[in-house]
Amino acid sequence: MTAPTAGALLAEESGVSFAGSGTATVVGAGSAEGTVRLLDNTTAALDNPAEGTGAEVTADVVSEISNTITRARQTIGNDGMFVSSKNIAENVAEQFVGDNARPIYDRVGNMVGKISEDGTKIARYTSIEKLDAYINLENKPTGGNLHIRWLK
Amino acid sequence: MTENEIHILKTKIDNGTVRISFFDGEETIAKILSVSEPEKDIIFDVVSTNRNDKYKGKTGAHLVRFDEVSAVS
Repeated sequence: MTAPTAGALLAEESGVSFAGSGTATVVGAGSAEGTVRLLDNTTAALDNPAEGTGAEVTADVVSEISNTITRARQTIGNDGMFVSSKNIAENVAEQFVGDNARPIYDRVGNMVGKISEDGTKIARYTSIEKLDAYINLENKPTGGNLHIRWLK
Repeated sequence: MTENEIHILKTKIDNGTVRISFFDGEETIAKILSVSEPEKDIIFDVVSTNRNDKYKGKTGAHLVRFDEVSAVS
């Protein structure tokens, strides 16, 4: 018999279950979406956490992404918030615009954002290299305009 | 861009087309997807343009900053 891993125990306690590489299913109370997908670089980072166990990082990451996506979808007017890392912000932006989102190009052909398939949600990366860097998430139906900044 | 031009663009979001003139000589008929005053940019789909070469092979939307636009009509 195989003993459960620390990650499995933590996931069970936290209400977050992991469904293989690159995906995580949030089953706890307060989650807005059933599934949170992780970008490839996030998965890699979770396999080699800088400190603590991978499971601890993963549970926190999934929860933070889920909560931030919920806030982005519910934002009315201008708002701003911090997440713990740039990677989290990028994950949120990808989830926000969803599958089949189209790229947005600037005048010289750089990809500077994405727009959802139905055109209602926009992620702008135009300020990602600024000193006061952020990703802008626009939600047209609510008039929401959320700036997501990161701590590291 | 003038405030009136920004107003025109906003009335055209997801509602018909508008002609955008750029300082580099490009003239484009565009479907406006978003106008952001805080970000000072316009996101649009190209309907027709005198600079097809600029958009060749790009199926996505396009973003232009206010200061790259010379006129809107």
